[in-house]
Amino acid sequence: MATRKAAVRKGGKRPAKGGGKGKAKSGSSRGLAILALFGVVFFAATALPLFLVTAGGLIPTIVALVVDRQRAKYLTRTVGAMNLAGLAPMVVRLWSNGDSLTAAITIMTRPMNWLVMYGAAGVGWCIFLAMPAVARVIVDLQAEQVQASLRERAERLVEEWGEEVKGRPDEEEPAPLPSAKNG
Amino acid sequence: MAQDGQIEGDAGGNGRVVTLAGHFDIFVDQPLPDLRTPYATAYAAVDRQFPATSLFAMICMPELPPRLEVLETLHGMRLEGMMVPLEWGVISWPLSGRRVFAVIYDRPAGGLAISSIDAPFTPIAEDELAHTVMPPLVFSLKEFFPAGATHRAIRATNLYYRDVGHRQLAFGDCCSTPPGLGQPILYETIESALSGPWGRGNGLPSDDLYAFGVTLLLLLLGRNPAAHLTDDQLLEEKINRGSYAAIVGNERLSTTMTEPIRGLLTDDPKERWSIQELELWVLGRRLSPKQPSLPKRATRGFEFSGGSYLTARALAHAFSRNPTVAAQILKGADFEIWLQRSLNDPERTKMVGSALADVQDLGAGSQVERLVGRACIALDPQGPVRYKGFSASIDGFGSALAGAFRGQGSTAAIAESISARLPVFWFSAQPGLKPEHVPILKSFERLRFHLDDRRPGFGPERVLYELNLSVHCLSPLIEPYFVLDPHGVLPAIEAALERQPEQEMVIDRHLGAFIGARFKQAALEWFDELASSNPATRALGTLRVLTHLQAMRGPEVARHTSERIARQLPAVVETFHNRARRRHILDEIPRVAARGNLAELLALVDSVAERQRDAIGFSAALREYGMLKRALEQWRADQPRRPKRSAQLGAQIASGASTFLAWGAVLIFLVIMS
Repeated sequence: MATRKAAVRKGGKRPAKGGGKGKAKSGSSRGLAILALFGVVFFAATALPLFLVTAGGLIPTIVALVVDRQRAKYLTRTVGAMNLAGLAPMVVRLWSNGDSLTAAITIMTRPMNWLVMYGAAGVGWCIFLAMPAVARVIVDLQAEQVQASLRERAERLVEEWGEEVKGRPDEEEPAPLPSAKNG
Repeated sequence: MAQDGQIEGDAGGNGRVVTLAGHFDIFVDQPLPDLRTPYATAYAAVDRQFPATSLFAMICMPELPPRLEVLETLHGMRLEGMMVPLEWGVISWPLSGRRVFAVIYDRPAGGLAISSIDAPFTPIAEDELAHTVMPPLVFSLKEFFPAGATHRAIRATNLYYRDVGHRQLAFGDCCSTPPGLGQPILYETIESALSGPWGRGNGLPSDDLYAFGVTLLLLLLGRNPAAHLTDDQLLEEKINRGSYAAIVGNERLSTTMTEPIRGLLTDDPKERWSIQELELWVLGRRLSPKQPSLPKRATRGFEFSGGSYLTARALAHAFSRNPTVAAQILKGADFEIWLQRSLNDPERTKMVGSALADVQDLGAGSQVERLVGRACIALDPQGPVRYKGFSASIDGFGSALAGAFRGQGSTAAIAESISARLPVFWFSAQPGLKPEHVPILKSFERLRFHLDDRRPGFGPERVLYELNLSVHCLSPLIEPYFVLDPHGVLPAIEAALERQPEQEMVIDRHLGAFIGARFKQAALEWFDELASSNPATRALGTLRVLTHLQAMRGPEVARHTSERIARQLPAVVETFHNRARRRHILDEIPRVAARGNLAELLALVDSVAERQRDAIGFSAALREYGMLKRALEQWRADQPRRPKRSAQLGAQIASGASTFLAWGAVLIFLVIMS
């Protein structure tokens, strides 16, 4: 405390107010990581066969999680959903064969199973890569439609009220009309 | 006043007949040369209700405004010594192919007494003149003057014998011309003679009595004793020697007749015999002859432009004839010295000082004229207002302007004299403001504002109609229809437009001024639109003014006017913004115009509700268009950001689609497994 006060007195920069928050955030992340590590260890200790199949099968999702820079983690979601769909038959097969370490090794030694799990994740990755192009087409079409509608309405206004409805560039309101003095 | 006279064709072998007021037949083919005057022709007439009476009609020249107020005054009077109008009005006159003003009189049985004074004529004996001729004339004037009118056409050549025996004389017509217009200088007082023939004004009874005095003298002598003098010489003689000396000269008159003639020819109106004094004389009471007082004379003459002037009035007259030189003289010391030492009239000196004090800058030509005009008034307060060659008595401005608009003088000079406040200065130069002068003074102040206003409906034209109730509308469109009051305006326009299919309906300056002056309900803003440079606004103004006229004065149907104005209305319709509304109104105009109701036409093209709806709609459309424009600009501006948004959207779609597919695959697997 005394050091901080001295820094202020010497004209040094005051420590950032957010510094505490950053520390708290990194602290909570570290807590989450410890908690996750603890969960993983707990999961491995209690259901080792399932852990082995799952850990091996979800490697594409883990990779996606690592490379996904978006906050909403759309890549992770896309790949993860398909990856999980590919993993689901393996898990069912493991449980149906007694949930033993042998059954897990049997599943993991068959290349076809890896193809199913990783193939599903690959399909997910392909979907993620293809969809922006599709979306671009949709967005462009939508923009064209809206602009065409706006232009059509503007033309109708000109047709109904004449060119003067366009107004002068510096004029928003119409020019005053001659007042009617009828009667 | 009777309205209109219709040509009824042949009537019992009398040729063409024009009827006035429904029962006075005027025989177009029976002129009466003996009864014609320099300004009016005479035709035989008859009253259908009293066919035995012998009448005649005076057909006035359209250029001359009749004296309506005198006609009204004389109507119904029973005067032995004056021709009294029985009826008057505007008629369609086939000989001139236009409408003219006509006055019906009893036809004098003995005809015109004296046709000309240029040659000697039979004199009337003194006794007959005093006892037979004068009494009815004097008694008529005595009855006539209290009504507030003046005759202003008393002269030897305007006397008629009422009887075949040539014993009873009567004054002739005084209503067919502006006051004093037909009077030679001989019969006019000095003040009136100094005015131009058109600017003599109604004057006062004393002016008539002066003319009567001259007439008596001529009847007595049987010739004009001043015939050897030109008008200018006669006027100078009157100014310098006095009227009696100038006219009577060396003629020898009896003592009996000298008395009234000297009394009536006195130049000072206050000393001139009144009608009461004249009546007393006619009734036999002899008064002591007055010695007329001469105007104040200077001890030495003032030399100006080759002449020497001894009186202020003579000098004022000379100044008015040469204003440029006069202006220099007026500012010089010689004039002031002459005024103070030779003329020795403190009142004149003071007034001249006042006249010169207010006009300092002599740079502008009009200022020189104004200075001289004021100086003339100061030197001769009883005289007329003189400015740039124009000369009129204070109540003669109206008829002078009427003459100027007919080419007899300059309208600009008259207008400038009013704007320069010369009439107001004239009033200030009078020893006392007479009650009859108060309204005239006020009207001159009002007229200045009319002259300053440049809009149609104002200017000199408005002054013309304000000062002359008898002047008909001089608008080229309806001038031949001799429209004297607002009732006749629209019917005349209808008739004129019917004859001229290509004529545009425009309210010109004369028509606007006539409506403004005669139509008392006319509001000032009516004329704002007429002054606009925008044809649409002008057309709307024209329609609005004529609509008011039709609403208040009729006729109910004015189809030609309506259709002619309708030609100009597309420009008005253009002021609406809504194209559908424009098309609707344009489609409706011919149908509504054909009905001839101007109010309907006005309501169609200038309805308040429609204007408001149009304005509100246009305002909303303008805002909406602005919004659309901004939205389109926004869309265009958004284009560079579209790939990023597409990528975002694509990721969202991919996320949703994969979740959907995954669930589908799991479900299918579970179904197969079970």
